[in-house]
Amino acid sequence: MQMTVDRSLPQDTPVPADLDDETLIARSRAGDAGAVRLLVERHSATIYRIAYRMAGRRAQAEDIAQDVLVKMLDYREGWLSKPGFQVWLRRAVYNRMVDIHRKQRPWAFIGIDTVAEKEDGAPAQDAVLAAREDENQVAAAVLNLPLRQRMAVTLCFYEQMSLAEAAVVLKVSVGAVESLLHRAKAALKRTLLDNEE
Amino acid sequence: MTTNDSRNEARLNALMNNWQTPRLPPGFSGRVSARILEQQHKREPIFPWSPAKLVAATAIAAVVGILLGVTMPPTGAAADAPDSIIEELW
Repeated sequence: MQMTVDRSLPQDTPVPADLDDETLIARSRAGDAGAVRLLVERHSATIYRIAYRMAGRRAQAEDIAQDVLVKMLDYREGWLSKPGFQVWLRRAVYNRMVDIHRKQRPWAFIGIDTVAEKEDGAPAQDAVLAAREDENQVAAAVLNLPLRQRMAVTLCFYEQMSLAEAAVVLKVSVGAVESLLHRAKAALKRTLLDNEE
Repeated sequence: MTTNDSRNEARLNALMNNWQTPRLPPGFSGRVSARILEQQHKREPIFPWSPAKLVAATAIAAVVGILLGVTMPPTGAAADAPDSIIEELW
């Protein structure tokens, strides 16, 4: 009896691009490499964007996005509540960020990637430098917000999600999201606009 | 909302839009997909046999075991043992 096990990685199979996430997850669990690739390609940019807004550093955002995407096949639709896969992914980024925040030493300054680090080479002109300075200030101000407020701003302002959608991700009421955004905006105004005057 | 508040709101929105997201690192999706596939591959069972095959193999092993037990002469302590437990008791 032949006892050897084929250990080669599964090959790509053609997967229709319009398949919904749940079908792709089921096919991915069954070992369909094409479905895995399509799922990752479909969601990686969004997950990376949210992770970057939450973490402020590209390397950390990359780690968070990778952790979340690697675990995406663990997604199971809830029995009572059905938040959906996209909500689950966004919530996973937030939960990962909370974990990191808990483990982080309170006195450790993590800092942000300054925008000037993004491009290398070409000398920057004054206008570009001024814009970068603005960008760095905004990034620092947003990253200074408490996690929940930061996530609310990320979802509602940067990801253009509705209050109701953000509420599902954060597992709070719509009113609570409104309150988070209100407090976040007040803090950002204090930091950013008062500096201008 | 006063005119000043509206102006502040607009200014804040404009400022916040200044913070751009860096593009996804090149090859990121490919790396993540490869990691997922590799992990999934590791989780596969060592014996990729179907339940039917496992049952058949166990049955064959049991039959072979019984046949060996019947045909092999007893050795050691088993050879000296009485023929039956009842004989021993009497």
